[in-house]
Amino acid sequence: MTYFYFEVVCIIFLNKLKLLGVILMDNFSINGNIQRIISGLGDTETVITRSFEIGYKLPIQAVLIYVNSLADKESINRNILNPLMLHTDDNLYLSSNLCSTICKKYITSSNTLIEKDIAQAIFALKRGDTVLIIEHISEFIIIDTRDGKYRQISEPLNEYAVRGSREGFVENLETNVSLIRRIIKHPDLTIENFTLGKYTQTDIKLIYIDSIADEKIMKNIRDRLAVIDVDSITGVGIVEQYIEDHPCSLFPQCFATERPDIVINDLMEGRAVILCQGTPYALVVPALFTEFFQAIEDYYERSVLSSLIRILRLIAVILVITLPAAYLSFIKFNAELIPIQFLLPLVSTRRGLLLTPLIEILSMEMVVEFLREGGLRLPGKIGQTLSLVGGFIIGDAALRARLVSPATLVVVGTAVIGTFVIPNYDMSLSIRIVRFPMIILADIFGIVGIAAGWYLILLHLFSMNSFGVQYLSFKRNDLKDIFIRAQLWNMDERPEAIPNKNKIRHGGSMKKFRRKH
Amino acid sequence: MQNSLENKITSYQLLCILTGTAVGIGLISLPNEVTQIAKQNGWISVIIGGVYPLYLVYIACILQKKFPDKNILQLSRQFLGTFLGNFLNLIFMSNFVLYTTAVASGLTILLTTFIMYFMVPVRLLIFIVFLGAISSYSGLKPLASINELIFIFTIVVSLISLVALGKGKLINVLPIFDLNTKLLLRGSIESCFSYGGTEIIFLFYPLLSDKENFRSCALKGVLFIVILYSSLTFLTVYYCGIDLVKKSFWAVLIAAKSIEIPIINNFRFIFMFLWSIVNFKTISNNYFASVFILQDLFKRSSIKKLSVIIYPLIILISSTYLNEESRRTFLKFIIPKYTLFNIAYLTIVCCMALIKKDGLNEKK
Repeated sequence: MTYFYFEVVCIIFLNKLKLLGVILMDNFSINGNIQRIISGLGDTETVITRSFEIGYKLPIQAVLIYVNSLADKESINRNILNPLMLHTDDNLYLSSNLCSTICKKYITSSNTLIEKDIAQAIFALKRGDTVLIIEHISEFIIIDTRDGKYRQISEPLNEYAVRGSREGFVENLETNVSLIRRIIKHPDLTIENFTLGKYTQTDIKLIYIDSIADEKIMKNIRDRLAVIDVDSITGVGIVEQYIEDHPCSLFPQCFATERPDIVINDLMEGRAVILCQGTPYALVVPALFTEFFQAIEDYYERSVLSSLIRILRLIAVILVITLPAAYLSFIKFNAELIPIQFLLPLVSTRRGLLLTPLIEILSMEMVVEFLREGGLRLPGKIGQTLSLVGGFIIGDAALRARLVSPATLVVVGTAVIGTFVIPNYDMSLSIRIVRFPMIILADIFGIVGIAAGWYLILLHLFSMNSFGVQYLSFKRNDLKDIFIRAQLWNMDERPEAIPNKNKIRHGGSMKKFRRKH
Repeated sequence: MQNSLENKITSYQLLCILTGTAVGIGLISLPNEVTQIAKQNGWISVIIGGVYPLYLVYIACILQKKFPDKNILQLSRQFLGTFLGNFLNLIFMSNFVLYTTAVASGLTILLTTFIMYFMVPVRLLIFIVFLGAISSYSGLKPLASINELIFIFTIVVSLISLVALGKGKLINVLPIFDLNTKLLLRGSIESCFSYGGTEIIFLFYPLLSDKENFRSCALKGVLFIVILYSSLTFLTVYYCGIDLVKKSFWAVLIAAKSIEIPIINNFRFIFMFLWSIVNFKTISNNYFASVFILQDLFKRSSIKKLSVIIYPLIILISSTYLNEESRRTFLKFIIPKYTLFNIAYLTIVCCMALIKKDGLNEKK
């Protein structure tokens, strides 16, 4: 019995001696640290502090801190409290490597981290981790207990591909990163972290491939992200508006996608991807104008078929912008150009119309836009009903009421259908807006107004840039993948339009092989 | 490889700017102007007229070799002194102002005559010059890109016209080699306006990112213009016959009418739609060249500011000849004088550059 007491006194003495330096150096107080953490977290109602003891004979005081709704309680009970409270070894005593011992021997969580910085502990707590504080020890153990209750990976809603993958990004940032990591296994995949928004402190990740992406462009993007100083960031669309070059332009300068396979292809072209917590969209920068007219399926289908579809898309874009304006110009100013066989029925349908050609076309365009926008915001089935019934009823009624002519309806309808051919939603919105100034120009200057409109659109596109890259450019080698889609084995170089460190996409052996066989 | 945004252009873009500045409204009126003097051999006059741009390219090559980083404006100041140099640069600038206004007014007249008879010419002119001003406001890089695109466009439109003109009769151009040297030379002076604008290379050669290709690109550009002009003049006479060409201000358009396409009654309409885009670019290039020289003179002002400032001035000058007859009379009078000035001015600067043997050291 005497020997036992002697042993205990010795241990306590040794402990005190070992820790003396630590205690004096860190001026450590468990309660003080809890207070600092709680004040760093702000809201005290959701912060849970759980005191407990580790060991039986010489219990060590410990406190567990986590945020109620973010951490997984099941995991805390199973991986931290249970082993530490019920299964600890009696020889556990206070020492400078106690944290390391606890992590190694008792905490059964897959991810633990020992940190000294209290700011790191607060940062982790806000993201669902749990922090373990032990008396007299200035280090914190951060344990991964993040709650995985997020929407499951599902099919991308707005970018469907028949032959493509069915996976789309979700709201959880970690899951989105894992979707990319699963495909790119190369060590050059670089991920940089940013925390933006004074109050929301939203996590943002900048992803690129170090051996491909150009340093200057990456620095440009990094600098732009770093200067964002706002209260809140609630989605990647907001980040986009803070970092783009031409905020007043109609055309999108970042490519938003919900498909990981598109992101992978873009990373391979030397671009960067920005992911934001809470948004099931990735932002690809820098973006090129031509890229918005390329669908992922173009690369999964045979090249001849894809090329034809691309040409079809080009025709659709030209028609969407030009057709209503050209129709207006013909019926208002240059009716002599319409062959007499077309002119007679056209005149007969237009006789007795109430509205002028401009108002007639604009009003029909407006009605169609109302239907589209309404259909978009309403839930699925009601939206479809609105579009269908609204379109039929209003179209028929407008004809009967002699408000519009059937030819106008055909022209406006064709232009609207044409916008659906554009694979990217943002660009489809922009293109459909462009046709309105075109109609106004055609109303004033006739066909020359349309020529001038196209000239101005091209000039605007040529004068734009996206993160130090010209927005629209036609480099000779890139033509393989703009108006047509050449064979994949033939596209051996990365796009010239985007600067990169390594321009060779794949070796020339495939070409040689093709020539031989 | 790098798609940088520096204010540099490639030599191919310079080729496009060179052809883009010259090819414009002059192409449509050229057959009429040369056949007035050189008859059915007008196309030979056009080829002889091509000596002028070739000579300019030759001088440009010499200057570019000796002073690759200095444009004509800096060189003239260096050799002729600040005052005289700036004064001559100002006259050189007025050259481009003249081209801008002449093309703008010519296009306005053409459009209001054929397809926009509903429009008051001045209003159309204001709009057309606005396009030039806004292009100039955008800067060199977008302008170079748009020239690149419209160069291909010009080839396509020209080819359509050439194909249409191919339906003529050989008798219209006979006798082919009934040469009267005096008339041919006089006829070649008429083509000066059409070749006007090639002087722009003297402004932009220091801005090239690949200077070694300058010579071949400039030569290709000039050859393209000469071949296009001469073939179009030849085929217009071949299609219409000399009597008709002489009487029509815009003889090329007669041929455009002969192409039949579905839905539209008249292909001339499409042709003019496409050709007006080509002309917007010609006006823009000349406008930008004027502003570029002005900016060199008034260094404190930016290109953007000057583009806005000279806008009313260009409209004012253009509106003074909104009548095709008076426009042509004025141009016939003024263009040969400007051409002579250009030859003299550029030759003097070139001679001075040759005399200064150690030109490359001048940079230091």
